[in-house]
Amino acid sequence: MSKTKHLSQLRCQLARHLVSCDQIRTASAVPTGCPPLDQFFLWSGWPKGEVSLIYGSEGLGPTALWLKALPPLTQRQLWAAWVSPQHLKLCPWGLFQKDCDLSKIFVVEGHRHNPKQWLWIMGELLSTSLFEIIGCHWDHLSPPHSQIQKLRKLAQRYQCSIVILSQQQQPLKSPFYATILRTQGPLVEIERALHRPTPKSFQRRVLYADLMPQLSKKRKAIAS
Amino acid sequence: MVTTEVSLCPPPYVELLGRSYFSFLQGASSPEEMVSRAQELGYQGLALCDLDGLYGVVRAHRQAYQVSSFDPLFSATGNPLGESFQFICGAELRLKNKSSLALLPMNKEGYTQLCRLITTAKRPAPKTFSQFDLKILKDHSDDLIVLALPPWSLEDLQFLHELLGDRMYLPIWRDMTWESHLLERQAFQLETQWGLQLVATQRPVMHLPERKALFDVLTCSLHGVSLSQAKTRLLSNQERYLKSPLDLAQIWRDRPDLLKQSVKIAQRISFSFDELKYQYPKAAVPKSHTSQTYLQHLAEEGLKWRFPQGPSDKVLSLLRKELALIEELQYQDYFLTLWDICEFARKNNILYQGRGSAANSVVCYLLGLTSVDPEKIDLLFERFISKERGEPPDIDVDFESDRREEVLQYVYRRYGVQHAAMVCTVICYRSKMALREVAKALEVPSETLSSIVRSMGKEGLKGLWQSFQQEPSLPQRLWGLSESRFRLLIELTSQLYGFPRHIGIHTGGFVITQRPITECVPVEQSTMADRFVVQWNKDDLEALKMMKIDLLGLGMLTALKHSFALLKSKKGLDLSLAKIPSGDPKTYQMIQRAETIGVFQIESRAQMSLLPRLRPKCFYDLVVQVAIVRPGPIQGGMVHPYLKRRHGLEREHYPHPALIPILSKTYGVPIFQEQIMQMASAVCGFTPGEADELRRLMSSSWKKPQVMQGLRQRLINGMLNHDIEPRFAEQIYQMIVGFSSYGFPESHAASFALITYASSYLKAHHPDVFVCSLLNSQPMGFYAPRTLIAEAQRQQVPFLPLDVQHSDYDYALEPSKGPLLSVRVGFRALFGLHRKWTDQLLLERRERGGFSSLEDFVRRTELPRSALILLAAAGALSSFEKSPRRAIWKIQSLNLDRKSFFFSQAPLKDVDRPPLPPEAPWQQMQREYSHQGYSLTLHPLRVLRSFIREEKISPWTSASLKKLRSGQRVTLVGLLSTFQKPPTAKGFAFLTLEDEWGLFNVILSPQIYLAQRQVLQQQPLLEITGRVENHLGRAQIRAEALRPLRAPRGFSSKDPEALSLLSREKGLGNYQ
Amino acid sequence: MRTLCLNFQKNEKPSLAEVFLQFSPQLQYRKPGLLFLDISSTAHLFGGESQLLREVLQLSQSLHLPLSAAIADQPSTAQGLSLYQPSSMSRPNEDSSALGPLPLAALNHLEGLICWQPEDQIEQIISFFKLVGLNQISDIQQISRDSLRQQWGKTGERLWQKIHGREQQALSPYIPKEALIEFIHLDFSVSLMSFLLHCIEKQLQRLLARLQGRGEFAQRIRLHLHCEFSGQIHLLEIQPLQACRDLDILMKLIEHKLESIELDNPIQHIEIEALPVPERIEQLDFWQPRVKDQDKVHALSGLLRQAEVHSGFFQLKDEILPEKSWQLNFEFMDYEPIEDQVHVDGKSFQIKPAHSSSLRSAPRPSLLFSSPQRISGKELRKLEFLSSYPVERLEESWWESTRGRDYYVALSPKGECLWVYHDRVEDQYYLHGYY
Repeated sequence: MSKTKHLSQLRCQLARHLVSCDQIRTASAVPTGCPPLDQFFLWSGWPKGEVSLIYGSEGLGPTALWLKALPPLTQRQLWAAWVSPQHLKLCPWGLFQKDCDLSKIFVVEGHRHNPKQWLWIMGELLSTSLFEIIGCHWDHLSPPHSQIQKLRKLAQRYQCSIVILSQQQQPLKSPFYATILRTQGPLVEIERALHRPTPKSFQRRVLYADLMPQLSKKRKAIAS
Repeated sequence: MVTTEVSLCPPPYVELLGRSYFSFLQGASSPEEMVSRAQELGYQGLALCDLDGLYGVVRAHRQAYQVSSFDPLFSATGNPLGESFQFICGAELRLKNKSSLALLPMNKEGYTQLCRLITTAKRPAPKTFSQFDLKILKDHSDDLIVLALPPWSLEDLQFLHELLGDRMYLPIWRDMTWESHLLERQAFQLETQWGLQLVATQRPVMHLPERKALFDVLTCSLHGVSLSQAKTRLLSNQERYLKSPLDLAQIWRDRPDLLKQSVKIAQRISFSFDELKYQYPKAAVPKSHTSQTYLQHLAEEGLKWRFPQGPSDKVLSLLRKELALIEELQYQDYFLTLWDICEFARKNNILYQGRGSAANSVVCYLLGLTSVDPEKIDLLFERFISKERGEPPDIDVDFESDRREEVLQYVYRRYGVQHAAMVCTVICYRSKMALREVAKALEVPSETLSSIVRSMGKEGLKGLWQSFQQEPSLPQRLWGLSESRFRLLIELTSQLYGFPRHIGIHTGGFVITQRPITECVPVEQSTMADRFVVQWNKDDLEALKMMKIDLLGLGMLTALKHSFALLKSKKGLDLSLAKIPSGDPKTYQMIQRAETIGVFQIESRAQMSLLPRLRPKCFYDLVVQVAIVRPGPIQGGMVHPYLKRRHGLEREHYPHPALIPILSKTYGVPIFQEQIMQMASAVCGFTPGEADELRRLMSSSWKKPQVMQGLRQRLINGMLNHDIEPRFAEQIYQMIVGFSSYGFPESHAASFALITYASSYLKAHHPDVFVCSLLNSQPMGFYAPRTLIAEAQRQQVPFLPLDVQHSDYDYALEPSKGPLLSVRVGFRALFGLHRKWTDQLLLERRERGGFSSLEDFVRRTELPRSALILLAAAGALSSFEKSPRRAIWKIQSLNLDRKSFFFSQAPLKDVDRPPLPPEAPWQQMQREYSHQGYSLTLHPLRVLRSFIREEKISPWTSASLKKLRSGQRVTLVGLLSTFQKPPTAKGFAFLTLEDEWGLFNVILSPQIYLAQRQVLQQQPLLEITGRVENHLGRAQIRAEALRPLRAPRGFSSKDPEALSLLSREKGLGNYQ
Repeated sequence: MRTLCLNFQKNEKPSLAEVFLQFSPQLQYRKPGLLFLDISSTAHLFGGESQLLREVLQLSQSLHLPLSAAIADQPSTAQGLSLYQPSSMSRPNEDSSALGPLPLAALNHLEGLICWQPEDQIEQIISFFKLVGLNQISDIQQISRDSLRQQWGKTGERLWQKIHGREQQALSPYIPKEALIEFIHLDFSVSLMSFLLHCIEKQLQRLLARLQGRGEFAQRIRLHLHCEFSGQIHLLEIQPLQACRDLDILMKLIEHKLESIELDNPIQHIEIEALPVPERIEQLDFWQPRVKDQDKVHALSGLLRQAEVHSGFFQLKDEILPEKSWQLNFEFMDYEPIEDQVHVDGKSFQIKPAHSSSLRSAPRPSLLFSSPQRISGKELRKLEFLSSYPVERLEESWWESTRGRDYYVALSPKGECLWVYHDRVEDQYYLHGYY
């Protein structure tokens, strides 16, 4: 069959899906608030409709990294949500000092050791189609494949960006994660990012640049 | 973790930002505590910088340098603390942008600039406010070191840097708060960029960390919130206290230079309060004289006036000695200044009298400042001026109370607002107010608080604490407060007791200076209009040897003035204080019968009960009578021995022969303060100056334990050296210490006794004139007008009712048929009649004569309807209409529209007026009591007497009481006149009741008082049942039962206000 | 016109009027505690005025509302009678004879819907009449209208009309606007279940009576229990299967809910709120957006609460200790920081400092442990502290306990940035949060 015939058959099959070049839209994202990451990611932020993972022990700043996304987001009157176990409370003063609009941050404190409940909560949060970004702290656990897939489907339907934080040293790196970051020692390593050459790392002290300049003398200690 | 080795010897350090409780609710320690703690820690110095003022600097200075001669440390090693420690005076002035400047004067000029700065910032501003800003500093910045406190604005720092150069520093502190980290970092940046000088401080607000709790309570009071609501208004930790130099070295180990900087700053400061040379204002002396010669001249004039037959040798030698001492101590201008003020009073016919320690001076007597004749009492000149003390004399001058303002304005005019200002007093927390403040902070419910305050009673906090220690479960049982919470409440209250709340005006204290006053002390506005007050109280002025005069007001002088004027105008008698004949038998007999209602100083219940027993026969007896009814003699148990020895019932006893000349005049019983000082000199070897310091030490509230111990040792050793047995030595020590603070000065009692005798003489010989002038000088004295009038009526003085045809504003005397003049009630007696309407009425009457009818009165006076109805209800229109009710109805129906033709006419037809019921006696008395506080014709008991007899309540009256024998059981009915419960009476209460025949006294035991407290407060008419005590012609009742009088028939149930008219608001009772 | 006056003799909330809507649509509440109902057209529905009066008194008794009532033609007469002759009724058109025997002091209480203006003038009139010996209203009823108007102008005119029962005052229909919230202030803090239920029942009964007056049912009842000392607020929400006004059902649900919560501190005061739904389904407004963001969040919160999951918005509080410095609230409330107070009077000023107001700018970690983790000696030796002196020393309220904490920033061997404090009383180190 001639080439042209093949092409015309293909066009008939795909006709419904073809769009012109001006209709192409880049997938939207929520800026991370951390310049090195925004410059590296293709969509300069946490991709909407995708699930991202940040793992590493808590003191190394995974939460601080996620929190950097909130001030610019809430100042544009957009909503964010945070889910964490009861024993680990998100402290609002850091956000207040960066002029974050706390009326746009919804916080949920789930029961400890009850992952099923956390997933149900995530589902309910997504179903309101209100939130741009949802952070969920899994303590020393990480969600199984099936749940990540479900979360990804919901994220795509409600165009929301989901970020999972885990303190596990070796969490389950499901293929459904669009982005995986790891905080370790002085560095933040980007292990997976869609259409970007990984791994890539940057200095973790960027997270504390404005937090404690008073202890700047010791900043190297924070990094080394 | 980086640690640098720190040397073990403490670095030199001066704290430059000390703050005391004179920052009013923003400091938790007294100036004395801050200085003594700094000395204990081994600081080289301390600067006291209270907010917007120099209120506490004198006390701190005194604590740092002036040690009492009885302090063992001083006596053993000279003044070990004074030399090595530097006290720096300063002030912290706040700016509107919440920053502030601490200003330290380098020298005397700097101190003057500081005083001017504070005065400029505080004088125009209302109390506790300020108007300080950098523009003011610009004009007064010489010789001042400035510590600029955060928050720092670059613009202000630049301005200060250019203005002050190297006299500006940035203080930083490390009190483990994030704010201090931020400020420190900003300061280091300023140091590197602009080269500003930094200095280390602790920004202390307390001398010990344990005071944090009290500081938090003060902060709650400042903001008006409770502790749980205060949140971040409180300090987040207790680090802002005075730390040891070793701790500071550890804290500042990375910047030890900042500690040394504080010492460098202190070394640039040389100012001390000793440089404040106070100069008396130069008196107006004739050219031909110097101050001393003019004083001598005036004294010689006085000799001719005071001693027409020539002075005695004793007076002349005293005069020479005093004049020599005055010249040596350069006090001439002081006496001439006082003489000038009294001369103004004499010229303007204002009655005055000097009293206090000044009455011990012959010069004062000759200059006419005092009236105590040195021939009559032994003067103790050291009590007035002592070379050792080197302090200025302290004179109090009483003026007629309603003309004192003229004297004050004269002083302001004569010396100018720049050179004269009033002395301040510090209003401190007493126990109840302190308890309320702490309870509010601890969120104790208000009902619980009021019941705690009620249970405190007179004993105050001590009583409460003792009952809590006896029964720890008491708070839980009574008030539902846990033990820990109640303990916290009491501990904090006792710490808060004595803290200053705000400053007020001393009753009459004045400071007058040669140089502008703001060069030595800041002046600020007081609450009274156009009155300015210095920021130091009388103790501070005394410490700095600054001259203070007390110009006080005395109501009795006003009454005496009125009496002399009336005697002259009505009886043609020319009497004055000096011309009253002394030793008049009729007067002393009246005093001995205790008929002294209205007389100065001896009209109280306690005085009247003592008079028949003491039976004063001469002037000195009156001096003793005035001094003996006081807490000192009563608590010291001196009254009964004195009376027994006076009437020969007990032998006189002297522990040592040296005491005989001192105590013989009072039969061996010490009554006066001078006697105690003479005893200390005679048997303990004290110099006159030391004896006076003993008196001052005993009456000051701030007694240091070691000083008291030192004093006891000196007294006991002194007596043992005079071979007094230890047993007697201890007895004399107790007598001296327990009595010296309470004892009444003899010179003071003598000044008062003069006025007592004058008022007694007038009451004995001219009761009509006396009662009229007393009524015109109200409010004053012990009794309500009702009691004064009843007493005068018993002395056959006729009274005429209030009448618009005859009455003036004041009570007046009118001719009468009897020997005494009639007293016409004045419009001042009428409650609620504005003075403007009285003047309008009197003016009209004076210009166009009396009124022909009610309509004529209304038309000519043009008074408003409310004033007319008030006059009618008081019976003042009886000339036109006998029945007050008809007069009221007529006035109500008059047309008062001045523009109308029918003005002051009655348009109503008579038929429209309902029949008005006639007025019963009880209703008439109600009406008169409610409009002027008394009735001239009816006494409540006279109206009720028939009912009392019919109901067989009581057959007796106060007149029949004297005839009954002691121990007889009686029931009397009376109207409550006065009520007293003195702290010295161990719970007993004393009532004075009144019936139509006179007064009678009742003694209530503590049990009856506690049981009937409510009845006493609400029911004026009482039935008293008890036993008669008839002693030396003075009868009183020892109550066994007390209850309100059963409702007499005259009271209609529909009109419940009948009894309330007799309540105390309408002037029917005078409660102490 | 026939008026029923209810006199509570103390200030009551205006919302109380809704309870009596069932007796007449035309009613008006006026301070201090006076409620006037126009029963001209509704008395017959209850079997006559006396029967209506009996029912009103029964209802007020069941709601523990002490009041005195009277019926008369005009509101002013009814008010006077309610105070001086409670539960009395004047015969139609004979108000003046009913007023006759009252004392002169009753004139103060013949105001009706409008108070005496100026207030003190009536006092002067009363004292004047007393001065001349007149004590009852019947005495002054003889005085002519002209002379009263001539003496006291408008007040004299109104006085004449009142004492003769001729003052016309109309009552307008009542439109319920007050929020359906009741407050219970307990004299002393309570944690006893039975006593709490008793207090709640009383107020809930009044709330349901108001709903009945407004013709509505309660879809949901919300209770806020405020604890003493800690300031903790427990939020209970009761949703019956079907909107109702049944006191027993609602009390059972509340009791069940109360059993499940742990009271760390006794309750100081309680708020009860009812979410109403009309007895008749109203027409929905199509143009209004169905669901706002706030409604979504409310629904989400309600759902999470049913599953006993704590959620909400941050409410910042100016407390010194970090763990008390915020809480999660159902409704977002703006943060009002405590600042230095600056009072200005013209050019003068006065400053009252808030000593620790800068705590809100202090660096705080991202996550805090709800209960700080104890650090063993071995782990402590591994940590590296950024400064030998504490970054902050925070002391707990000394009037409750004596705790003092020194906070440090520390680094673990793995480089974790930790917020550690040393408890100076126990002399023990704790991990409080992660940066």
